[in-house]
Amino acid sequence: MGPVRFTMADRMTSSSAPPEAEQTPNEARATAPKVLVLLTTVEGADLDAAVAAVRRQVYDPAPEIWIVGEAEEREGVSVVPNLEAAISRADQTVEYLWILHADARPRPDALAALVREVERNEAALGGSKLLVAGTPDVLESVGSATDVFGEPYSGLEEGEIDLQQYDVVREVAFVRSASMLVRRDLAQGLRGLDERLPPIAAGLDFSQRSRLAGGKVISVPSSEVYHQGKCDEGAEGWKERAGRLRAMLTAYTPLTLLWVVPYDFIVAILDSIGNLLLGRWRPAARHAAAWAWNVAMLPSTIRLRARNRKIRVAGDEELFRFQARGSVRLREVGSELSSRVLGLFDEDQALTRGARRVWSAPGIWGAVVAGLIALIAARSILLTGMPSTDGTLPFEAARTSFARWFGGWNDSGLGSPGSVHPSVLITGVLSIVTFGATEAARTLFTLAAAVIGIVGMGRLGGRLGLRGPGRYMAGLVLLAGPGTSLLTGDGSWVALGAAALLPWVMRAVLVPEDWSGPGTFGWVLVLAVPMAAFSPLLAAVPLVLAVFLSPRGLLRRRLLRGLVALGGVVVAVPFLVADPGWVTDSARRILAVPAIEWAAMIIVGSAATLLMEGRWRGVALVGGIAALAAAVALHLPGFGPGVEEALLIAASFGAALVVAAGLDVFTAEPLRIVATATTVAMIVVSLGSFGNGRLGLPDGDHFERYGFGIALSGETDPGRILLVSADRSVLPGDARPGPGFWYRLIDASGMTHDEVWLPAPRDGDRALRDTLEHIAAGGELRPGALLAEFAIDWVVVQGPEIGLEQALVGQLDLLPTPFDTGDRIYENLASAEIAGAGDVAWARAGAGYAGDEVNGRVRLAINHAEGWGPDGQPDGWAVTVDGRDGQAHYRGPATAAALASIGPVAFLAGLALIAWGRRKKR
Amino acid sequence: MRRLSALLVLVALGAGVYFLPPPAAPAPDPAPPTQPLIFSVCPVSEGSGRSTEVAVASTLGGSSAITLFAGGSTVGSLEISLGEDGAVIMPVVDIAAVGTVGGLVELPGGQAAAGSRTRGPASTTLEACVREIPTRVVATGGSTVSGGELTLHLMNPFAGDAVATLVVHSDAGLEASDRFTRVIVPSRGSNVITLNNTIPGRDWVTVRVEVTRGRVVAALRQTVGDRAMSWNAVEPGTSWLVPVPTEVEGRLVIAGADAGQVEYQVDVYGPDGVTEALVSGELAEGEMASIPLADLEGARAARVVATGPIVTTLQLTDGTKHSATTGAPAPAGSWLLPAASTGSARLVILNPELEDASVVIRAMREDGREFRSTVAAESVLETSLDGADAYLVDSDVPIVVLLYEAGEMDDALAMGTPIEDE
Repeated sequence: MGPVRFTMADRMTSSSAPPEAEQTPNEARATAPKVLVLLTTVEGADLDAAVAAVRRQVYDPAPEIWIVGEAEEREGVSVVPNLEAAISRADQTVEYLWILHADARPRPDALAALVREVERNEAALGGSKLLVAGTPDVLESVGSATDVFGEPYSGLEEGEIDLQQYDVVREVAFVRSASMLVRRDLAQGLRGLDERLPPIAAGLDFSQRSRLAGGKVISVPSSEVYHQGKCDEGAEGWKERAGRLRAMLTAYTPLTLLWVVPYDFIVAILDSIGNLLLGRWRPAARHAAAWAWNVAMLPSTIRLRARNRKIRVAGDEELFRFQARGSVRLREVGSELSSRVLGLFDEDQALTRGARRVWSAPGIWGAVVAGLIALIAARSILLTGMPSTDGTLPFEAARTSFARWFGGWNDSGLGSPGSVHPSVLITGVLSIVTFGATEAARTLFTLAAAVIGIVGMGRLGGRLGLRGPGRYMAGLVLLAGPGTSLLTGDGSWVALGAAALLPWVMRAVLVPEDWSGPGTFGWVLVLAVPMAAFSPLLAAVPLVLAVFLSPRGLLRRRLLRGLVALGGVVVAVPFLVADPGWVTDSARRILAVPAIEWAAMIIVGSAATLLMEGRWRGVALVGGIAALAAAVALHLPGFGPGVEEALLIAASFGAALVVAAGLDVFTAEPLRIVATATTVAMIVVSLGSFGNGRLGLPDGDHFERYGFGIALSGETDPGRILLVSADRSVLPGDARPGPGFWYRLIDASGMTHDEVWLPAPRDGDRALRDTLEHIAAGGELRPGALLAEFAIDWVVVQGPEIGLEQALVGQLDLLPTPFDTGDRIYENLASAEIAGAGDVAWARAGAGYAGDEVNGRVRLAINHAEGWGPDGQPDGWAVTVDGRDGQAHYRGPATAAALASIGPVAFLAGLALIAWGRRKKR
Repeated sequence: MRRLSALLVLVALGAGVYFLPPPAAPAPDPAPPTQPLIFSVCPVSEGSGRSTEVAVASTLGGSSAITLFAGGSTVGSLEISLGEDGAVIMPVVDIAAVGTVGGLVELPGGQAAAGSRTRGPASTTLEACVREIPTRVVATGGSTVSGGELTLHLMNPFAGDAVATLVVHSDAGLEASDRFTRVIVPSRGSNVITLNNTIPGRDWVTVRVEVTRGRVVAALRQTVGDRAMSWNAVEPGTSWLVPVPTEVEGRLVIAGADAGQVEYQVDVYGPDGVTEALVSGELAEGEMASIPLADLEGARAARVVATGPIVTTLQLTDGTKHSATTGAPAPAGSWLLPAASTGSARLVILNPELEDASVVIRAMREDGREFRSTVAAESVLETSLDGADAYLVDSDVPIVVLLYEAGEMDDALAMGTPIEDE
């Protein structure tokens, strides 16, 4: 053995290191073992420099050098085409192979240290400590543990400096192939590295196979190698993932694979979702590619497994010993997600700075208190799930939602080619995100809306210069304040979503002075489009408020972004075009007006704050004026429910700004005390509507209330239910005025979100109106037969008694049915199928109808519109189609689909702008 | 200054919120005017020696259908077009031998009426079918003394069960029986309650039917030996008009319909004009006053007025023959009298007004004749006509018309059905 410049003992920091006195038998040798260096080529690496570095090794006998890969001949250096060939050609006199990447620069004593420690520890495989080349000893690897899926876990912090803190020889799960010393006989037995694998995976695979063959795998920190990392480019690419998966598939026994493979699949899905939430789509693609590659490589994997079986002497337990519990990947994603979430509340990064300073961070306790209150306010949702009533209804399947949105059939009431509400598009997206679990999507989004709203107000307050706890508490007023509570109390689920997004859009519009670039516009679009999908006309609010909340120097920039936010309304264009009455028809409003007490509190709160000096003055004034102006406008006629909805949310938003400003600091100043007391009162009043545990949404279960429709329909389509009441507010969603009562049709198989809004009346709706007038006049002996034409199987009268009920006393085919629902229910004994011909009944199927094939025409009890097929023909107000296909479908005009695409395109354009902005920043 | 302006804006907006009235809540469209029922409900008896014919008459022609209902379902139905004369007879025997059930007659229009005639081995009953179905009806004049049977027929042809409470008064006072409370009349079914079983031996009985759910048509049927008479329960009123055929014996029965005392008086239309308050008295709830026609000094008609709701029934009997009908609450310009009559019949026309009435009487049968007459003010005209399916009487002033048929074995008596112009 040649001279040693420093020994393990010199650098040992661990008492567990073997003392010098404990000589192993190998140390008694007269000469050092013969080593063959296999220098693997790396694209972009300087091969001559690598050869020179090897030649500088202080090791006797000087190692022979073979270059592995495509390279020119050099003096004293052999070239072999691949690693397997090199290993097989190594002669018997060689005891060790030093596999070294061409981008690695070993210190002169690296080889000697490796040989010494491998010999001393009777190991089969030793890996060097890798340091990042060109840095002041930044650690890259000192051997790694893995999880059961082969995901490396080094325990190193990013940029961690080598202070000899890891300088202890220890067994590890694997060592990197950049510099590893392996016994020649073992290498020949294992046939070297799997050349299909990228570097890290190759190291892992080789290490695992070595261990299963009975060899020890150790990390040798005294062997230091500077690694340029050229071989690691794209290390986190799909090939590395695929390589790890292959390493797993070749190493484990079938019994282990039985649970590991499905487990890994689930981890891949969760990891993909987590990364998607973090705004990264590539990991999902990498997972998919990794699985696809391994499926393609399956025959070769099976061959490898067969080969490994011959040399295997240890079980999988030997691998498990060096593995971390759980999934490293999920832990990392989870950690990143949680820090992102915490970061939302913690602009000052107090949480990341340390727990001791958390409570000194302005706003953090306001966020915690608001969060806790929101949690309590959502307790019923958490414990028993979402209510299904009024405007809070289950989603349809994603595919159906998309079909309806992109120019499909609007099935609400008697149906219409007019567009569904744009929030249907959002429900489709949410359903996809939850893999079709629509109820989970509904629950999660509703809960998320509370968090989003509270955090949004906090972050907006921060942007407006507020630092106190009030800005988060203001989120409660946003969600349950003077206007929003009226909407949610009326069952409007979309109001919750729209209110939650409004402060974020506002924040994106109110860009700081030093922010510019396409990304800022992108954020406005990305937030404004979904907000407008929930409440289309709310898109005007950021533009209006930007005028008042912007100093003169920023006015132009912010107005520009406000206009972009207004552009979010494009997502609702198909809906607004199909039903302009939603904007203009005041008879359709719920006519909710904030209580006068709210106006008083807003005036006192904003006036008291206004009279003080400080950053909150402008915010309180704008908030107060916005809330009061919205409240005044709500007293005026001349607009429809769309405007009313936006005004109510704006009123709550204004009140929330007043609260944020009023509770920004606490002092004993009299005006401050007045402002604090008033704004606290506003919060307390808001909590009143939260008291029901459903974030202000009303209680109810449509399926419980109208479930008789499905239960008694047998195998046929349950048809429709005619809901009737003198009190419009008890009917779910929109209602039409009838003769002495309000009414609407709902799907008896279960009302869904898209049915909340009734499209503009068409011929069938007018015919139904006339029929109801005829029945309500009394004297009709068979009203059921008349209603059967509209596929009405049930009539449900709710609320106070109405004249129609008197008319229904003396008739023959609407059977009063004493269900215990609190409503008066009549079963139509003369009911007819919603789609059928003769004895053949078709049922709803997605956005169309399907059933047995029929030779003849099938009547659909829906409003006639061009586009129904096959061979759709009008039948009075209804439609008939050719029944030979066994299905009926609607194809709207291409313009409808094009109009419906504008919103999603705008959203995607926003994402593209964000990506472009980020690239520009870099 | 800027702060002051800001404060003023806030206060002004607050004042706007306070003083501006909230927008008016939208109301649904006005309820449509109520349309008359275009069906009637009749008691039907088929089997056990009894058979019912239903006569339907209309001024507009068209077709009519009768549906028999029993035990919650439809037993059978028959649809017949009205002949050119505007009337038709629908024999129930052509449908089914169903026993005592209800029949729903679908009329061709608002200007139509139906009546049912039930013939037994020795009896005939005739009564107009019911078009108005109020929730509170009263029938009076029956008896449960031995030798006769009083049955209450409750009919519910509609979808949905009906629930009724019977308030029964008799000479024994208010009758308390569980059988009278919450009587369920099943959908498309009827209840026949034999009052003799519950309250036997009562000289007179008044029944008030209070319907709490659904709708029920009620009629009383009284048998005396092998003779019978039937009359409908009607909504109580404060004024009743009852034409009386000549040369008959019988009585006018008046009963108080509601709680509390009610004063009544009987004005009589006789050969010498109107005699007001010939008889007067007081009635307690459910109490019945029986005024023999003989006490009314040759009355051709009677008007009964009261301070509270009462019902009035005319019952004719000579000891062997029996017939009955309820009074008419108001006069009308046109009357239909479905008769299903094979023999001759007498129409008794009361003109209660202060001017003479020109009447047109038409027998609705093939080759039915039409003749005109004048009924002097506040007087009565009685005319004999040949048998017909029905009779139509039009007048230029409001009148009241009653059909009386003196049969060999039994009499039949039925108040006409007033019709209004459509």
